[in-house]
Amino acid sequence: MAKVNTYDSDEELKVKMNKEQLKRAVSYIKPYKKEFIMTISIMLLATIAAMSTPYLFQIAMDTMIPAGNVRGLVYLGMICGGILIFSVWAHAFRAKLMNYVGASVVHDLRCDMFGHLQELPVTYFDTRPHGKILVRVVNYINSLADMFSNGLVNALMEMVSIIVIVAFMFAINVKLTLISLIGFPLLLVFIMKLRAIHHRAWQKYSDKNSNLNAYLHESINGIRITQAFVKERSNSRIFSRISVDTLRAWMKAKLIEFLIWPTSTVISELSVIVIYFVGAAAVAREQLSVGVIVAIISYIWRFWNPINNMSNIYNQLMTNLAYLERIFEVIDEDVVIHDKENAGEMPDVKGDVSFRNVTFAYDEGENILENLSFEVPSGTMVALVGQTGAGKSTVANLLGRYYDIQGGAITIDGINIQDVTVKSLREQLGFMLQDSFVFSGNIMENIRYGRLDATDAEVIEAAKAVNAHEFIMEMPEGYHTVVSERGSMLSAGQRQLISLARAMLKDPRVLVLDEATSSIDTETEIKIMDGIAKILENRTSFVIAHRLSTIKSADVIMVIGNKGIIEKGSHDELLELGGEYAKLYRTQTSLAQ
Amino acid sequence: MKTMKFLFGMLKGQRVRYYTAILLGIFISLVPLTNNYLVKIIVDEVITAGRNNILVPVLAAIFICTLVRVSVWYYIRYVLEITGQKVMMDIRNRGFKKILAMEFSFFDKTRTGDLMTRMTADVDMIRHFFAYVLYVFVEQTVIFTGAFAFMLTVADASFLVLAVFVLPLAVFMAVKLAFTIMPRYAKVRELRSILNTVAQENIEANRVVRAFVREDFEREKMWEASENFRQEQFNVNRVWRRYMPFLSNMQLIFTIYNIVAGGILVINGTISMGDLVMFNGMVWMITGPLTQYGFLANDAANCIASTQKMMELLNTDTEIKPVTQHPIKKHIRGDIDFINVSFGYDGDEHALHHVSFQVKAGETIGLIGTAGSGKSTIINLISRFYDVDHGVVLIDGEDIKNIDLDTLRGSIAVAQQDVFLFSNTIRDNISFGVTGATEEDIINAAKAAQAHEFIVNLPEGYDTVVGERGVGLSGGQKQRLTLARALLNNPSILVLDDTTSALDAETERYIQSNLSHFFGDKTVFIISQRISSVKNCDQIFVLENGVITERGKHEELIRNEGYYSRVFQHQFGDCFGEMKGGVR
Repeated sequence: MAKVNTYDSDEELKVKMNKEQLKRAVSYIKPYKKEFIMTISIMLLATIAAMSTPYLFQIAMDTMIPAGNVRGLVYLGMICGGILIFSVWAHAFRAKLMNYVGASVVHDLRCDMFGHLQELPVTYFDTRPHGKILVRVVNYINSLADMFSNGLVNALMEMVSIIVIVAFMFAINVKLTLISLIGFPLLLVFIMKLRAIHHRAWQKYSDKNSNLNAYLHESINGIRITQAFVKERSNSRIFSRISVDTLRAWMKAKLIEFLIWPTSTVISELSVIVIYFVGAAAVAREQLSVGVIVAIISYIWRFWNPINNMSNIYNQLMTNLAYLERIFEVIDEDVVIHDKENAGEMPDVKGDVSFRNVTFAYDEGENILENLSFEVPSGTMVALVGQTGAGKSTVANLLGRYYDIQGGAITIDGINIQDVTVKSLREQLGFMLQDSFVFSGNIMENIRYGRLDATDAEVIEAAKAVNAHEFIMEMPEGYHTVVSERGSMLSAGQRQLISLARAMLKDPRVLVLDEATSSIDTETEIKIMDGIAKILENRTSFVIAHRLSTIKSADVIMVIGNKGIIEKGSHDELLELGGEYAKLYRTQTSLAQ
Repeated sequence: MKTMKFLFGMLKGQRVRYYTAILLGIFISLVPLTNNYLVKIIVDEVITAGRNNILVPVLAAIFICTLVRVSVWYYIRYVLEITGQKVMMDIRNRGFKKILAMEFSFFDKTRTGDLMTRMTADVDMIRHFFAYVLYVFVEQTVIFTGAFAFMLTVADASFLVLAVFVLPLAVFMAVKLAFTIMPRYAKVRELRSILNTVAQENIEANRVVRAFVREDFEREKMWEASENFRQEQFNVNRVWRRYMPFLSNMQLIFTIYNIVAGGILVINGTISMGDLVMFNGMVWMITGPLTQYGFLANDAANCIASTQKMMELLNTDTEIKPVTQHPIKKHIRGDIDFINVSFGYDGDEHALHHVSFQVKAGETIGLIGTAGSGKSTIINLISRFYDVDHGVVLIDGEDIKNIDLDTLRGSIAVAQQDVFLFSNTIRDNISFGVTGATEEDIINAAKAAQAHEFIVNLPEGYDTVVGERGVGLSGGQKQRLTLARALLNNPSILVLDDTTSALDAETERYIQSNLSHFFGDKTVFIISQRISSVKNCDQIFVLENGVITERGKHEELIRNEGYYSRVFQHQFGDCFGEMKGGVR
């Protein structure tokens, strides 16, 4: 078994944030270049317009009022009114576009990530709490919207203001400007020094938050067990503990983040003090006028304002980087089962299955199967029997290429399953698994999952074939009864019947029934097997079951054990052989005595 | 209103520190004013009047003021953050407890995705309210009130007229924004729930998705959910755009007033040029807060939508009411009586009809019947996961409703049909029901369930971490772990709900022979599809459509030639004839 992550262990981070990753983040905004350019140009105009109002006020004071020109004042007021209208429009325009961009980038990113999740092997889901995957798909991605839209535009706008202001300052006095700007690199050095622990703090928080989600999710799913064992209180305690961990991680990150504003404020005040100090001396020596000092200082304030805004955007970036890393990590996760480069489609399958010297291990060095070989002509019903954990399900899983084998070959109709696309292979196999999953929705939709274009009549026919029709009709709204994933509306047996109907509807050439009827009562099972038997005619099937009565009629029974096949033959042959199968069979029948 | 009361009630225990921090916040927002005063001294006294000796002390004073300001600021931000976090933690813990306390029927109706939304996104909105919205609201209101009052002292009557029109308009817009946007946020969070549900079910069903090659179908499902979510963001933004741009540009209205009306007033000599300049300089102090109100109204609306959802969860009544008056907490022996019990999961369709039976402590009961015939329902009723609709369930002669719920459930151990393991070590999974179980107890339980052998063969033995739902283990291995878990609990009533269906015959036989000495004086229910599992029971009930159609011992039922004997024949056809003759 691969290393399994749990709610109380942090995950290792496989993706490092570097230029590549940033480039990748940028690639998500690229499609919206047009919107960004439009927004930025409009906002530039709006900013210039807004900046011009003090100038208008200046004209009013300097020329209109002294001249007593009321009409001029009204004209100025009208210009200002025009600016008001333009500015309101520009803000609305920006809000619209940026909302569009933010929501769209998030949508794109989510679809990409979710799409990739569909390609990942089942082991990916087996080895980590599902809550941890979930939090990435929904919460992490949602929190990126603002950074990818307004954050970016604001950063650009602030940068423009900084440049304009610095230009003005240089125009007034080069020496004082240079002195007053010394503080800025200082702040940058501080932020750079802080960056490593700042980033780590947010990563830590994202880990803790992920743990919390994992525990929450698992607790909701395991609620029945928790209640049955009266573990509510101790579970609440664990949850509180994880909550406290999350709180601490958050506070730590925040307290680091909070260092930035005070530092920049102290530095800006210091530069003002230095200017006064230097300036006062210069004025005393009559090298400078008071006006210049006052002007420079008022610009220093204006210079630090956008710097502080930038640092807020920077903080937002640091928080989101920790999320972005996790998102990219999922997108980069290796899909493990790769289609060969020139893999073709699996042609319509007849159903000859063969395993040739198949060797397989979940973990290297611990072979589950060694040199397993068998041939099954199409139309054969094969039963797999053996001790729990002997590898029966493994054989079935290998057929659907859920794992790649380490040695040998598996062929269907003589075609190596590794030579065709995984999808075209699985498309023609029917898997009825141990765990039956019911989606929230109505029963009709749940069965139709097997073949999306099936008509209602076909769905009902499939349900009838597996004897599910009767109980479905007894439900309050028949096929339109809404069921939920964990609901007790359906018993475990009924859920198995629904997933069985689903597999029936798919109408595959090769069918695998892995304990598909274990929770179904014998009477129904026999009826189902009768129904299936009809469908199975001319189809290859693999049946794994513990109730030997279910599989007596199989064409071939293979007893799996010792990393291979121990015996093989029909029911009667194996009984006669007097080996493992006969022993198993005797045990089961003797239980009746 | 109730929402607000609830929201502020969350501050309990932190009020003094929190409100002190807000007051401090108001105080430090005044510090820049002192700085302005000190700067004025420098310009007037030092530079203009040349009193160089006071330059250094004044600069030092500015520096100290700044240090004080940033330190206090740091403290305030700390308090705001920690208060927000604590409120969030508190409400999330309460929500968690509530979820754990909800009866099964709640989960029949509620999607995991929805609960996840409440416990993540909704609680975060509440955090944001205390860590940001409330503080900024108070701060901005103080600035606004102060500036406005000051402006009134110097303003002309015409300013009052303008203010009477513009200010209520701005407030109206902020309020209107909040109320129009609130239902939209409710919709957003609903769509977020759907997003959560689609993702959650897809992750949960990853095997089904792959087996049916439904990757593209799932992608489309997610695309649609994500697209709806996106569209709703646009709708929210549409409301936002109706009010916010105006609120953001309010200061321009006052600039127009200052240029035109102010200019005329100066020309007329009503006010001085200096007054106008100062007046113009103060405009942003009243319009800034008004703009902020728009943002705050938006966030508050979002927070209220979320708070209501949390309240809804916290105030959901558990239908299974814990016993209030003198609950019976004594040891439960295990006598069980069902008297005329009827029950339906959704009211109309009955899962059990007038079921009556009597079980004495120490008896072993077999339950057999078709899927959905009511076997598991009986167990759910004994554990009181649901309350009966009609009739009474008695345990040790007491109505189950009078027995302390924890005592009751603590005395019953169910090895569930729907195997659920936690992503944790095997050891922790087995000892889940028991605090402080010894290594020996755990191993004994595992041995009794025939799990010890395969466990020690795992690379890390009992410390092997199994994935959620025990993925990585075979069906039979998982069943044996759940069995061990139930056995370790050493209950008065033990329920084996189809616990051996995925086991091979041999293992089952070992377990059965092992278990019988484990049973002792326990009342044991065995639900099974296999005759072999129930044949030794003291009583066997055959259930069909919620009614007990046959009852008795194995031999009696075989002679009955009903459902039981039919099933027996199917399962043991070969030796059936022999059995029929050979029964004592």
